[in-house]
Amino acid sequence: MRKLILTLSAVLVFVLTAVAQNRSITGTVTNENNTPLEGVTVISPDGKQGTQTDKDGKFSLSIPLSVKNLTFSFVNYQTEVRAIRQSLVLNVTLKTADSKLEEVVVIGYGTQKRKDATAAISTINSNSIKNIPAQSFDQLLSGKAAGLNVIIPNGVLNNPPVVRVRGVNSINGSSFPLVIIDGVPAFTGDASTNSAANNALASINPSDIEDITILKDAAASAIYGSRAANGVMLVTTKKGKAGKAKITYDAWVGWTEAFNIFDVLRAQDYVTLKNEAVLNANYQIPTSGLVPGLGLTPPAAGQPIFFMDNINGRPVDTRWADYVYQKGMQHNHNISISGANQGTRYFFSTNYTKQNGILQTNTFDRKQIRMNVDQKVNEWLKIGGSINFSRGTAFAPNSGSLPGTPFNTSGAARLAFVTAPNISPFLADGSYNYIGNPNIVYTGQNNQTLRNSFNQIGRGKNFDRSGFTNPAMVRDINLFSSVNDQLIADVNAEVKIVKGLIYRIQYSANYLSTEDKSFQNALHGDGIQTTALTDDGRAFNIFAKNNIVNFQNTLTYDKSINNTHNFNVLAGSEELSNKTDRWGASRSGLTENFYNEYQGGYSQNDNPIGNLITENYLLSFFGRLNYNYKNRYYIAGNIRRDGYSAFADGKKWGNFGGVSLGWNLSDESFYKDSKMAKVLNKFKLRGSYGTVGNLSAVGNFGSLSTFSSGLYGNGYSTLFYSQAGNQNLTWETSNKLDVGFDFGLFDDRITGEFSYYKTDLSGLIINVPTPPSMGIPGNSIQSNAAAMYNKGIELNINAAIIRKNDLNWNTYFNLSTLKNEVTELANGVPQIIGTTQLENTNMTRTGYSIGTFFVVKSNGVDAATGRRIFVNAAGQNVYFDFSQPTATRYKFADGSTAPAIDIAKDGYMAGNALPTVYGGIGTNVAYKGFDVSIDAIYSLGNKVYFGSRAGLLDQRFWNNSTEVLRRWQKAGDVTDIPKLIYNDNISNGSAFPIDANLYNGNFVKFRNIALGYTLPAKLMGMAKITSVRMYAQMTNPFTITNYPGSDPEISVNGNTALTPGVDRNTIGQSRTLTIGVNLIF
Amino acid sequence: MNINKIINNTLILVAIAALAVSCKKEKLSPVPQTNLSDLVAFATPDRIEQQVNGIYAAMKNGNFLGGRGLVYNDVRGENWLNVTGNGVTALGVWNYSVVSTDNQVEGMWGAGYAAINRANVVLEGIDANAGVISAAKASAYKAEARFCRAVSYFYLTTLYGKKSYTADAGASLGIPLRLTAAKGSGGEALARATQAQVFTQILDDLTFAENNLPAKYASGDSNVVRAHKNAAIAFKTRVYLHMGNYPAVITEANKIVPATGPFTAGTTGVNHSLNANFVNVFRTPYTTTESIFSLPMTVTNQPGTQNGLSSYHNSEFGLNPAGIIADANWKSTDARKTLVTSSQRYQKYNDDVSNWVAIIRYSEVLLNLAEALARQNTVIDVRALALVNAVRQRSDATTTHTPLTQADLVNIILNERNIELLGEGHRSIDLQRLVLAFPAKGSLAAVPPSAQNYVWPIPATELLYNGLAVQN
Repeated sequence: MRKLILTLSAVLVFVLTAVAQNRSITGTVTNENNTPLEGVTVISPDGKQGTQTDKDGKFSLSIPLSVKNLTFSFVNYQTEVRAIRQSLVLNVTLKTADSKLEEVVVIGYGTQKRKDATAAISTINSNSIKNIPAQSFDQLLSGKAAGLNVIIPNGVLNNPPVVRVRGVNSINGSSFPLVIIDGVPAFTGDASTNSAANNALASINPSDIEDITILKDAAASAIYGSRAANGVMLVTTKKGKAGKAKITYDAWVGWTEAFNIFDVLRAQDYVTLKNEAVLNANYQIPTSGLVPGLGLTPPAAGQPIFFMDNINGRPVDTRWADYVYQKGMQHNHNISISGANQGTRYFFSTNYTKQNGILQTNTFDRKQIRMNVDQKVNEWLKIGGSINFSRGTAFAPNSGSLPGTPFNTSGAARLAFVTAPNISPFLADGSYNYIGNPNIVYTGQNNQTLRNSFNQIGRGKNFDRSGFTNPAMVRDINLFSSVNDQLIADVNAEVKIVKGLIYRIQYSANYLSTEDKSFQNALHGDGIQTTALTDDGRAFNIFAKNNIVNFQNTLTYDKSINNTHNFNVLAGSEELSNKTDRWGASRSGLTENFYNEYQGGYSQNDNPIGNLITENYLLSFFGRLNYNYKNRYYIAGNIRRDGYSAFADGKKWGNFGGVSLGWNLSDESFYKDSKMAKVLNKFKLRGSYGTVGNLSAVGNFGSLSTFSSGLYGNGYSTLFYSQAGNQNLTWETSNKLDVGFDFGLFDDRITGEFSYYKTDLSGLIINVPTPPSMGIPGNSIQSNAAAMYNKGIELNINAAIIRKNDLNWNTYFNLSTLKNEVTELANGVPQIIGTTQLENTNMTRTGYSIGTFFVVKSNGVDAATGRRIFVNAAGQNVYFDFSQPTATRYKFADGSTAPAIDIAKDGYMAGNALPTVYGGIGTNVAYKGFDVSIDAIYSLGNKVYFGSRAGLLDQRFWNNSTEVLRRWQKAGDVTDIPKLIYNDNISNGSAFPIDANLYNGNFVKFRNIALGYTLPAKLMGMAKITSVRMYAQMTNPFTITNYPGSDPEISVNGNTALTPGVDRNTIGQSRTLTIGVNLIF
Repeated sequence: MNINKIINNTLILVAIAALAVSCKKEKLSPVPQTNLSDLVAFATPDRIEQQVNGIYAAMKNGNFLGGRGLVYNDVRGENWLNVTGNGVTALGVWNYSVVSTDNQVEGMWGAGYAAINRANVVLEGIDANAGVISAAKASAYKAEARFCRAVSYFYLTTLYGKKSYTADAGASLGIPLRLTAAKGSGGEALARATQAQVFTQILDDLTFAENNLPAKYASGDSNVVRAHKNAAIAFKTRVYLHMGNYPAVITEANKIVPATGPFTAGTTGVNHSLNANFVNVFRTPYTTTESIFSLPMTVTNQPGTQNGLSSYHNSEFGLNPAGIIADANWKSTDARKTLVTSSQRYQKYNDDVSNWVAIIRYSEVLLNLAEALARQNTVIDVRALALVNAVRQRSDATTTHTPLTQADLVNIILNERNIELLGEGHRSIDLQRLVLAFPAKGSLAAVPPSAQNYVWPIPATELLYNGLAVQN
């Protein structure tokens, strides 16, 4: 103690002395091009004296004699520490921090110099995603990092993208990466329960993001333990930067439109071809279907039943896409104010965006505000916090383009191409053309009301139905909305206990409430109930509160012994509680068509819908040790112990961890002196292995056997066995191996990383069926039973091709490969069928990639007879003729009757649905004030099931694509379109998927092309504006592909693992032209 | 930074860290808010009673006795014609083309066994929580569970058993006999029991039920929707009749049917009798003294879309003009005939959402007894004739059956049964117990008992996941 007092006294004396003896240091700070830098922080090592450079890069600072050196730091530049020698003038040149190896990267619960990183980490800088029109930042990440595969499922606004880090990592659980925003766990996925998609991540304004770090291997992600199997996405938002307050205003306005809308038959061709099909089928309208008394005589067999003119004798030619698609206008505005001084760092921003989609009545708007502030209270205490509030409102029609909806009768995407073109949306008097409920007193507009045919679009003079519902009518009278209110807030404090030892505490909350409203009118469409007229018209609202509360405590200790042994140690604990409280109500029997809200008039209250109360809790302890010897040899390890509430006692706790090794070869003295070093100036070898988990496949009470309550008749409450729990349920296990190297060439002109990875997934949870005679609820029990692996390589290259004063040219390229194979399913589970709502499109079997397409083989069309040739399981050609009686439609080549094709027996594993090679490439050129950037993504090696084509060639009343014009017509015709037989839904794949509709999904897509111009600085001086940039850009301008659908980048089943790559009755992507301005004051 | 600060900070840190670590371990074992864990599901008398109600609720599942289960047995018979041609609403059942992967075949089996397992779970739960309720109460509840199990097995084994019991005295395969609670994996493979074994179990359950069920309940509603002693006896008359054991039918029926009319069950139990107005048996409030056991429906507790009896009687199917309605002796003034509409629909059940489903009625017991008596006697049995006339004259006072021979009497009773129980899920089961072909109907040919499609196939999923199950 005495020694301590002595020391303290000495320090005190020293400080007092120092105060008395100041000197003034001046200087200029420039960059490598000799341009003065404004706003560079110049600070003494103890942080007590500091200033910033002015607009000429000059500074002046009065400092005590005791201060021996000064630190110069500036964003995007390498920090310089300069000793103060005799001279009182200190001119400094800062080097740009363009070398990746010098960057600081965000890692779990901390940061690290990229140079010291031995794990597979990718960072996406906000510059590469800014200003691009989107609803949420995850939509912007396509092609931005190796190992990251992002698929925009379609053009429905705010539909969550498919995001995969190193492949599919679960069968029944989520494969979406864990997303952490400034340390706060985020909600992901579609928060909406109805057709108005509402991605929870849209609560973050993409413009507020500084960077996004992707943790891919176990060395990086194991610190997140049981949630890390899918990789981890760490989002860091912008903070204030040293210097005077910076005020920015960004705005863009855009026009979006659909592209590659299917070319369907116009009315004349429709009538001709349908009647040809009727003739070929010798088809006659069944007389029993006609309402007696209307005096209509159905045409004789083989006579036309479709007519070009309507009931008024005028021809009709309707392009139904015009009633479904639109050119949508979008605009977006951001304002931010930020800055930092010695003690306080702040950032404030607000955003408003309103976006109209390519689908009529599909809109999204967001009102959002974000604030964060950090305050250095004193030399040992820093406190901070942030608040992000957002209201995201989505309206959407029943698009039929979201998971589980492609066969919806009123799905807009399908109505756009299936509805007959020779009928009109409106009648002559302006009212909607539809067949109302015949039970209502109905003044039929077509004189053709058929029994059991109401709730269809009106038929004009056609003698068969001519569509499902009227797209224009359901668009106008039904209403679906979803409103997400999300508050993300945190408070944190950092305590410096002793030098190098920092304690950090963070408490955060993420409250997401979602209100989904659905209204289906009583006149037409989904609101028509089959049961009773009095039930028609329905409104149902669902309200959900989702709360995440997170509490983190960490201790970090940095210690360097003689710059030789460098340690960084982290220890921490975390609590994560996640609760959902959801309830809903439904009313039906709309009493008055004026109403379109739940609160209107209805004749009955239905059973509640959507009710759910659930919660989970994760308690964790974790630690990390990073050690390096002279910044050359690295070893790192991290561990995490997680306790999770969903598992049974005795199974709640799991241990996860990873280790990594690294060697900075280029820092070895023998290497530095070698010739090699002149070319390959940086080279680091690294490798890691570890085990992480996935808990997403287990329900919150999945291990419990539970009883639920219900009703038996009038007033008898029941309690019944409702869930067979499994006491042995535990985490899915992911063993991740990663080896690779980081490199810099030609003085870091070219930098890059290469990795080989292999992820072994075991204990994957699947529903193991029980015989139904056991009476187990759901006839299955969840069990950790399946296994698969993902492996591949990743390459990422950045090149600064030209670095000149007024010309900079940078390019990037990344490539990832993926091989996925399922190696084990449970006993008694030979396969898992992947269902696209009604259609079994994919199959998961051992030995194949997950969700492989499963279709019936087709051998083209018989040139002699125009029949579709299927190939059965025995490899025999089977000729199909729909015009024959049901029992004799399938024939062998010799004319004998063949068994009907049955997909379960005759289907085959027809192709990988997951891309095997994918990545991004882009370039950016800045010349004087002009900048041009081009970003492209590519994806190879997978098939896409073009299920919509089955519908586009369906020979029921459905309209067809113009492909059908090359149909077989006479013996000898060589074509891929069979002879048209009315009502034939089998030949072209509507009844079961066929490989004629399976296509190569390879594509290169130009994602974004932007041209910008920054006004010269001298012009700005007068207006007191620091910088003005104007730009124009095109998103999705064009795609290079042989895929015949609207877009090979598609997924109607969203993020599901079992049914990837299906293009069935969904709208395509949007193409958007935007112009915008970035102002900095 | 001085030493005190260091100490202070460290203390704060330790305190906070301790706080963090002490964070409530019980949070790791959250209790579901909307479900009960199996550990507490039988913890109170109320819960046990609700568990028992849950078995009935499973039985009234729209795929089982709340709708389709009865419809399937009706439309397999000759009295109905399919109207809509809808493949998911019993078209294949009607035309005898169902296959093992059919939703209808899977659905009925699954729903029936779900009810059976609920009964087994409740039986196990009551035993495992012996102290919660009195032994007498426990026995009564177990009797209800076993009654439900017996009824469920009866409907399943008559549809899925390889041959009807009477074809070979139960020697053929019935269905797997699951008598223990299935709450997790284990015990998946179980071979099918013989029909004799299944029927033995059904009678064992019903006898236990008869001996332990209350004679009656305090509330009138309960006397219809919950099992009581007469319900067990009544169902035994049906089971014995199905087995062709006529003396046993007489023995059982005599417990609740007096030797001479007016026929009432007696006041020791629920005093069942024929309701004077036939139609009102099927109209709200559905609690006539004729209703021995029915499954209740309410607007908030429905059989589900395309499951309700009414949707089949009034939309999916119409009465076959050549079926029982062609019977010239069934007068249009008969109260039962007045339910036939001009478009051949049947209004016994007329409301999609809230018609209760009659499982067994007193008139059936009278007809069961009448048939047994008639068959046991070599001449015209007087009591049997009185019984069948009681049933007829309740609906049609102007007609009196006057059989000339014993065989004539049996036919009259069978015909009366076909009229009286039309649309209540009896026809297929009756034809099967008599080992009669399903008669031709519409464009469909008759299906003889030797035909493969005379009974239903065992569902594909059962064969797939129960290694010991075999197909019919």
